[in-house]
Amino acid sequence: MSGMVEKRGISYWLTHVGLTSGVLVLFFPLWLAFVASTVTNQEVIHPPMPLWPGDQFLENYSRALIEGDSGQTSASVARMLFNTTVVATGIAVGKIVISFTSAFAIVFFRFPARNIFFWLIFLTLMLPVEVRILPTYEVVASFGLLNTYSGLIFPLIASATATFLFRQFFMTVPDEIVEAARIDGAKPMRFFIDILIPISRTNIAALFIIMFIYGWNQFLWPLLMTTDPSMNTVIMGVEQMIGGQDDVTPWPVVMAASIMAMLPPIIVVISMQKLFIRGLTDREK
Amino acid sequence: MAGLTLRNVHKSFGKVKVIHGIDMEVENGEFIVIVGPSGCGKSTLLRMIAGLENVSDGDVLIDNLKVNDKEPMDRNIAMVFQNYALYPHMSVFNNMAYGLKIAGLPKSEIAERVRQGAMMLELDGLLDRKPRELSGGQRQRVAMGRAIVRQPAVFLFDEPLSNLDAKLRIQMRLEIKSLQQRLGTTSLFVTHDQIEAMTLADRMVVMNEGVAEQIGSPLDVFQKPETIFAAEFIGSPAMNIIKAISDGQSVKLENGTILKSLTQFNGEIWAGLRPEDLIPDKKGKIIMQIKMVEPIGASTILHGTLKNSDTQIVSMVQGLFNPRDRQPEMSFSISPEAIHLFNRDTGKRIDN
Amino acid sequence: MEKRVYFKGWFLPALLIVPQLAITAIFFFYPAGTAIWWSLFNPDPFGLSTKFVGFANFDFLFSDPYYKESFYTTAIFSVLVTFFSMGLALFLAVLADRLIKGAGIYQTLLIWPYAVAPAIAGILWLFLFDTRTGLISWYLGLLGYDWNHLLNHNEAMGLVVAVSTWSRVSYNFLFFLAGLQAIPSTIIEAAAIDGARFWKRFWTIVFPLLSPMTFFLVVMNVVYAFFDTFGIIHTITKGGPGQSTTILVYKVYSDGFVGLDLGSSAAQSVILLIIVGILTILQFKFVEKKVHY
Repeated sequence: MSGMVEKRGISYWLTHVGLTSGVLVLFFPLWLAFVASTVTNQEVIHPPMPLWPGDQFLENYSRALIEGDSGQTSASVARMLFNTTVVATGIAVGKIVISFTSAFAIVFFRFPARNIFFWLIFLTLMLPVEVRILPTYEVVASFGLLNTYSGLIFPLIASATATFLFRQFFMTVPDEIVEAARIDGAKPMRFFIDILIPISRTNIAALFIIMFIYGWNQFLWPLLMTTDPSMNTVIMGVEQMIGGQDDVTPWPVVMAASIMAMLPPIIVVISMQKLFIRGLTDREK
Repeated sequence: MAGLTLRNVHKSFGKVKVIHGIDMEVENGEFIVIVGPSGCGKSTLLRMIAGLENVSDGDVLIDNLKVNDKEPMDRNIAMVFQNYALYPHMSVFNNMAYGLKIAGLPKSEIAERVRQGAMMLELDGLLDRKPRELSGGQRQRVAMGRAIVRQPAVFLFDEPLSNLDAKLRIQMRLEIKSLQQRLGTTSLFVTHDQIEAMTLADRMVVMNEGVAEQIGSPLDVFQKPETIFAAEFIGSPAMNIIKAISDGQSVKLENGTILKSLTQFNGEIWAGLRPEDLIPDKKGKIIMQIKMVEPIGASTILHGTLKNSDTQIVSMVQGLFNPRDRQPEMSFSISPEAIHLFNRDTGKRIDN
Repeated sequence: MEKRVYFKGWFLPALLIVPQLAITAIFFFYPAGTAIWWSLFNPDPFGLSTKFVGFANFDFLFSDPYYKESFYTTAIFSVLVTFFSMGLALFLAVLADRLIKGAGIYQTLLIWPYAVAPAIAGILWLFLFDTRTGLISWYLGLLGYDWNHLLNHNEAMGLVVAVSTWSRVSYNFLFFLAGLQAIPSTIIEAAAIDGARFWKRFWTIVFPLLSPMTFFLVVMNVVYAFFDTFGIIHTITKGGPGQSTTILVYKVYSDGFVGLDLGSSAAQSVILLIIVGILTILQFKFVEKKVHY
C-alpha cells in the first residue's frame, strides 16, 4: 500500500521519529554490549558503566577467542565458533537435502501410501525439540552420539517446515514444464538435476539462510548434549560463562563473546536480506 | 501413407467419460486443427497423442506404428504449449538443445540443428538469452524452435497463440502456416478460436463434449455444417438457429414467416440462417425488429427479434450504417440455397 | 491440490523419501511415543525399576498447584509477548510503509535482532538489569526504585516479556510490512478518494485486509512464546523467583533434567504435544485457506 497520500509536513517527520525511536530501542542493548566489550571489568562492575567504547577491544576479544572464560566451564570462543559453524551448516544442508528429495517424491510421483507419508512428515511441522527433549536425549545417548556433531545435528533436522515449503514451491512449477521435459525425454532424476534444482536455486538459498540461523541459535539441545567443553556451541558456551549469584562474571569477555556469537547470523541476515525475507515470508503463502 | 491414425479413441477419468470414440486418418504433411469450446476434450485428445495421458480405449498410430504404450519421447512427436513451457533457467540455445542432448546426439549435430532452427525462426541473435529476456512472440518462436530441432513426424500445438496479443497472434498464425508448409510436417493444432481454425487448417475437427461433430475442410464445415453445433460454432456472428416446420417445399419459421426452400423433408426442423446471408430487401419476408446496431467497420451487425416473436436474430449487412439512422424494422430476404436445415431431434444436417 | 503431471514408479520415490522418514521416525515418532509411554509409568531416575501408574502422572499434574501455576504463567507470558511484539511491529510496519523512500533502510536497521539467539538476547538484557552492576538497574536505583528481578515476581515477568518482545519484533515487522506492501495501492487510493483519513483508512480497510496474516502471526507468536523463549528464561531468571517465570516448557526441562522426575516430565511433554497439535491444526487451516484461495 505504498505511495501514501500524506507525504510532507508534520506527520512525515513524526513517521521518521517513530521509526528512529524503534531502531534506537533495538540497538540500545547491542551498543552497551559493544561498549562493555571494549573496557575493563573494573569499569563495568562499578556502575554506572561508560557509554563510550574504551581501549580494551583487542584485549577482550583476543582473550575470549583464545582462552574463553579462562578455563572455567567452557572452551575458547574460536573453538565454539568452529563447532557452531559445523553444526549450523550441517543442520541447514541436512534439512535441505532430505526435504528437497522427499518433497520431490511427494509432489512428482504417485506411489502407494504417498499421502500417509506426507501426513507423517507434516505432523512434525511445528513440534520443537524442546517438547520431546528427554526421550530424544535417551535416543541420542543410546546411539552413543552424545558430544558428537551427529548428535547435535540429526535430531534437529527432523522437521517438516522445509519439506512443506518445497512442496508448496513445487506445486507452483507449471505442469507444462514437466511435460516438456518428458517430451524431451528427461527421466525423473534427469528432470530433478537439470531442471528442478536449477529453478529452485533461490528457494534453496533462502531456506539455507533461515535454517542456518535456526541451527546457529540452538541453545537447549547443545546445552544437554555436550558435557565435553570442546564440543560446546557458542550460544550455550557464552551462557555458561555467566557466573551464578555469587561468582563474578567477567562481563567484558562475555560481551566480546556474545558479540562474536551473534555477528555471523546478523551478517548473514543483513547481507542476504532480500533472500532471507523472501524465504521467511514465503512460509505463509 | 498415414502420418497419424486415431482408431475409436476413448478417454475416461475415473467414471467420467471425456472422449467418446474418435476416428481419424491424417495424411502425411496435413495440417489438422482441432477446434471446440473449452472443456470439449480437444486438449485431452492432443495430450493422448503426445503420450501425456493414457489412452483408455482405442489405438493411436504414428507413422503406422501403434504408440499407445510408448513414452512421449519415443513417439517421434514434438509439442508446443500454450504457455510455451520454456525452461526458465536455460538459454534459448539450451532450451532448444535439451531434448537432443538427452537423445545423445553428437555435439556438432546439435549445434547444427539448433543453428538451422534458429535461422528459420529468426532467433539467431537470441541464442544466449534467457526466456525472461524475450518478448512474448520471441518465446513463442523458441517453443517452436524446440519442436523443430527434434525433426519429429508430428507437431502438436496446444493453443500456442492464445497468450499473445491480437496483432502478434495474426502474425504468428501466418508464420506457423508458412513454416509448416515449408517443412511439410504433419501437424495437429488445438484452438478454441474459429478464425485460427479456418485460416490454418487443411482439415478441421469440430469437437463438442468429447465427440467429433464434423471433420472436413474449413470451407466444407462452413458451407455444409453437419450438425447444429458445427453450424453455430463456425462463423461469426454465429448462425441464427430458428425453430421451423418444413413441408417439402417451403419452411415455416416459428413466427409464421414462410420461406421457399429446396428440401423435400417433411416435419419439424431447425432452420439455420447465416447473418451475412440475410440480404436487406424491401420486399423480403423476414422482418426484424432492430434492438441494437454494432458498426464494425466494413460491415454492420444488427441485433433484434423476428417480428411477432421473441426469437433473437442477428444479421450482418455490408457497409457502414449510421446507428442514428436506424429504423425500428427492417426486412430481409434469403436465397433458398442459403437455408440450412437440421433435424429437430438429432441436430443432424438435412441435405437438400 | 494435486499436480496433473507425474512420473511413474515407486522405487525411486521410496528411495527419495526414506531419509526424511527415517530421521522423522528415529528422532520424532520414537521419542514422542516414548514420552507417551513414560507418562504412564513412574520410573526411578536410575532406570532400575518402573511401575505402571496409568494416568496417575496426569492426575497428579492437574492437582499439582505448581503445575497449574505454570499454566497460568505461560498464558500470561504468551499473551503479553504476543500482544506487545505484534503491536509494536505493526506500528513500525505501518510507519515504514508510509515512507516512499527509506523504508528499506529502516527495514535493515530493524530486522537484525531476528538473527540474535534468544539466549544471547537474554544475556544482553541481563547485563543491563543485573542487580549489582546493570546500568538500567543502577539508574533506577538513583531514581529511588530498587530493581531486583531476582526477588520481585512482577519485575522478573516484566523483564522476560520485554526481552522476548525485543527479540520477536523483527519477525513480526517483516511479515506486517510484506503484508502492507502487498495491499494494492488502488484500494487505498479509492478509500482516500472516498474521503477516509489515514487512521480511518487503517482501521476500516488496511487492518481487515491484514487479518489473515494477523491470525497467522498470533499462532506463530504463541508458539514462539511457548518454546523459543526457553533461552531467554534460562539466562535471565532460570524460572524464578520462586516459580514466577516457569513456563511449561521450562518446567519440562527442570522437572526432567534437574528434578529427574521422568514420569511427570513425560506427562508434561504429552500435554505440550497436544497443545502444539492444536496450534498446528489452526495453522494448517490458515495455510490451506491461502493455498486454495
